Amino acid sequence: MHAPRVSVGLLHNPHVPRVLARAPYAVDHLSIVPDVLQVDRGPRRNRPGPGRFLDVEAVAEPVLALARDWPMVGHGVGLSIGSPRPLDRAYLRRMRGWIERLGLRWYSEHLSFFRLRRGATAAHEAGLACPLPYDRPVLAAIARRAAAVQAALGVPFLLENGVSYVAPVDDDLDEPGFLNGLVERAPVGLLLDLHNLHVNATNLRLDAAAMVDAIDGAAVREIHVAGGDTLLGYYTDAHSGAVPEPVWQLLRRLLPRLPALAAITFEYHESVGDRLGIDGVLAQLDRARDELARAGCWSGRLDRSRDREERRVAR
Amino acid sequence: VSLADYQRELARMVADPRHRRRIAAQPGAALAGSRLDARERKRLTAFARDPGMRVNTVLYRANRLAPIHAALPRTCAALGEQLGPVLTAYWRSRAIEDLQFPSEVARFAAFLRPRLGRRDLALPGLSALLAVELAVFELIMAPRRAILATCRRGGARFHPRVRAVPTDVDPARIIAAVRGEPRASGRPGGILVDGRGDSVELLAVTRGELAHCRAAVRGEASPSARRWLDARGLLM
Repeated sequence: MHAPRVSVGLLHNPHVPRVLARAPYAVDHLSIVPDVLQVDRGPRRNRPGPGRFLDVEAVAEPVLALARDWPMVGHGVGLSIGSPRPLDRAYLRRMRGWIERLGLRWYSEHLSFFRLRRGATAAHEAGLACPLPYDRPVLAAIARRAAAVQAALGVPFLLENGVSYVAPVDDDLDEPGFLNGLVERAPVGLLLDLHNLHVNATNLRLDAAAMVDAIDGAAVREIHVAGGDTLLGYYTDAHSGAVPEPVWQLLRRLLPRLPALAAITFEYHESVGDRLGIDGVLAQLDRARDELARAGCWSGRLDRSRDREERRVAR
Repeated sequence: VSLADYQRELARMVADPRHRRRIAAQPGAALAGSRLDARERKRLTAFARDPGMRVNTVLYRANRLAPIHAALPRTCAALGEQLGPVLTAYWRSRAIEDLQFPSEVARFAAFLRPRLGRRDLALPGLSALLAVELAVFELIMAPRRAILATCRRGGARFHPRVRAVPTDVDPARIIAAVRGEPRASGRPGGILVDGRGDSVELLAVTRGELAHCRAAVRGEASPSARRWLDARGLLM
């Protein structure tokens, strides 16, 4: 099997520049959440004042500066692809703008919903990325939306598996079946978050190894790894420290069959940056590279040429 | 329509444990207002009885607290044991609209402000501390370059990147609180929240100096006030 070259990087947070200053060559790429670089004043019409989206310069400008030195990928949180409502085209145009400004190689989103249809309640956001039922009609609807998003963004579009703290009830498909169904029906790839998968397996008493074995490895372009914490007796996706050993074992199990894998990204929350320490962050990147070497994969930066990278990912 | 109602009920259950308990106990009555198919009804009932739903509620509250705590950390700290009851009352009074930092912070501040001074929240300086943290946050979030591009130096307009905040206690005490330093004590006055540079700085001023600033904001600065303001680069 073709051994891919895989970039090893970090999800950007306010602690990450300290890591970059200390060990710039240890980080091959940065994953950026464009939503935190801007304020979205909402899609209401006739809103007075400036436009709907405003850059938060204090946050955006340092990230734009980093884009000169580090290849970047996008990781959005504002699409709510699982909501049964028309796609927010203005939001997608804005994201395409960030793709151009930051040179994002691809763009990923979460397989969940948080935007609600207005109605009896004044609320229109759930305040939490909520899990979707893995039903066939939902799959068909998300595949349609994902294809439209892909076309609107102009770079490869990936969807990420989510977390659920409640057991599914009468779903048509299991999680791997739903993910595989998506990549069969829509021109999208997978961002496989192995920590999310580990969280679900732990809390819902599922077989994590069987889940990763069932996932279509050819569709996986990026992998997320992270650490978690315990809350009310549940294991949560808190991004609160080092990657637990079972997640590394899942990575080891998967790597030999991921021909299109282009990046592994370690996620941690800035609030644990001091506790984890720069050495602790670098240790996660080292471990990811060790696992790649063990699987016979190369590690290295994403191509400077975005076109070349896109062609490689699209393959 | 069914999926939209299902999602709305699920989100409401996450945000409101009372609604979750109602669904668990009497799903027929609690879900009567929503158009749901049998499977969605069965799911929501099972979720309401699943202890994992409590985790979702805690995470939802953490998500709502995050922008407030990030923008108003010292106000939250100063509220001490009252923070929990204040947040609970806030969350009950207002369903979430969005998690955009400025709007959530503004909504919380609008909720908190009229309550400051009530017996349980009568903390000296808390109102000024809230005002200063809001001003700092506003200056950080505002489009700095675009604002400065609209201004020309040499005018009589108060600098658009500075806010003058009156205080009912010694401003040094508020500044110390914002910086997490030990408290000082002295006379009431005001604070300049200064966003002219790359970072936002705080400067204590006397009542008279504060009056100069506020007059300039209104475009009514006297010649002596203008001299004082001009010498400090506070006019544009």
